[in-house]
Amino acid sequence: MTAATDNRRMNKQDPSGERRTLWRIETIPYVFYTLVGIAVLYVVGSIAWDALRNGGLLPPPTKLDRYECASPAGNFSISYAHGAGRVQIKSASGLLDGAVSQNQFDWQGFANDRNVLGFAPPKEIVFDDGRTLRLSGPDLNNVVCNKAPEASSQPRAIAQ
Amino acid sequence: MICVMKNKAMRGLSAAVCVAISLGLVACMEEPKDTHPDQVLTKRRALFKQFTRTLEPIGLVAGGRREYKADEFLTMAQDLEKLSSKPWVYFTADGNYPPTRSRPEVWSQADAFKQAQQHYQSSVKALVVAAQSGQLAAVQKAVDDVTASCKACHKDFRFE
Repeated sequence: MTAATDNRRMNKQDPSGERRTLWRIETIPYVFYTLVGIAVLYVVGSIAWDALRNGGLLPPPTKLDRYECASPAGNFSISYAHGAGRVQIKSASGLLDGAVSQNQFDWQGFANDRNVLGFAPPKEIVFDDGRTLRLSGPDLNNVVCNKAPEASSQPRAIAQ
Repeated sequence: MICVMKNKAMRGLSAAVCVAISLGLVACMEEPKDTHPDQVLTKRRALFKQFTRTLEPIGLVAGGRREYKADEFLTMAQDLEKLSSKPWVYFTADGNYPPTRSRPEVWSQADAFKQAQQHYQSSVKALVVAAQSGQLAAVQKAVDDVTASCKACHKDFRFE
């Protein structure tokens, strides 16, 4: 008598066991479709979110322009491109990577920090015409930044 | 009839359970928020990530996978030097909280940790000097020293 025959006999004798096995098998497609559904929702949601954030389905620019800024708090440069979403600020004391959305900077907790740059980083872009930026923040009041002649040499360094 | 309704109810229940488990898993994967008033953990993590992003192109040059351009390399090394002194101030006495990956030795062996910082900073300074020389061989050796210094500190003071 083989084990398989024993199992079959047991299943015949125990219809609830058979139902349980069947139920387990039946749930497999539900688990599968739930996971696929979540993945699809995630992808569609991400695309919709990006489209909303970038104001369209076009991908954001990857190359950043360098702007040189002179301020009483100290000179600094900022690598930025309109619509890029990423930004890097560099002073004589340090550098910070951040994000920019709707002209508001997000410095990931460093908004009022003076340890890294020597002054608090700018809070927002007040004016941007592609050649000039005007920035404001706790330590910066309408600081004018001019686009440097050559493109930033390190946009890849701040790829997130 | 009753049997069909029961079956449908079971299917609905299993689908709901799957969704709940998936959402639970997603919730579990989310890290606890940094509620420290100065967000020291968030700040030092951001700075260490910046270390990595700055060191990556340096490593590519040293490994021969990216062209060595002396000026560009010197800028990268100087950026790393600026960063090298920044994160340590955020290891405050009350800065050991989840989800930190720092070992308790950061706080219990403060002198050894300080030495590791100084070793790292001096290795980065040596990298800048090597970069100023413009000699690729010197640069490669200096990069190896910086990497070794990183690894030594991680081994003693960070949970891998």
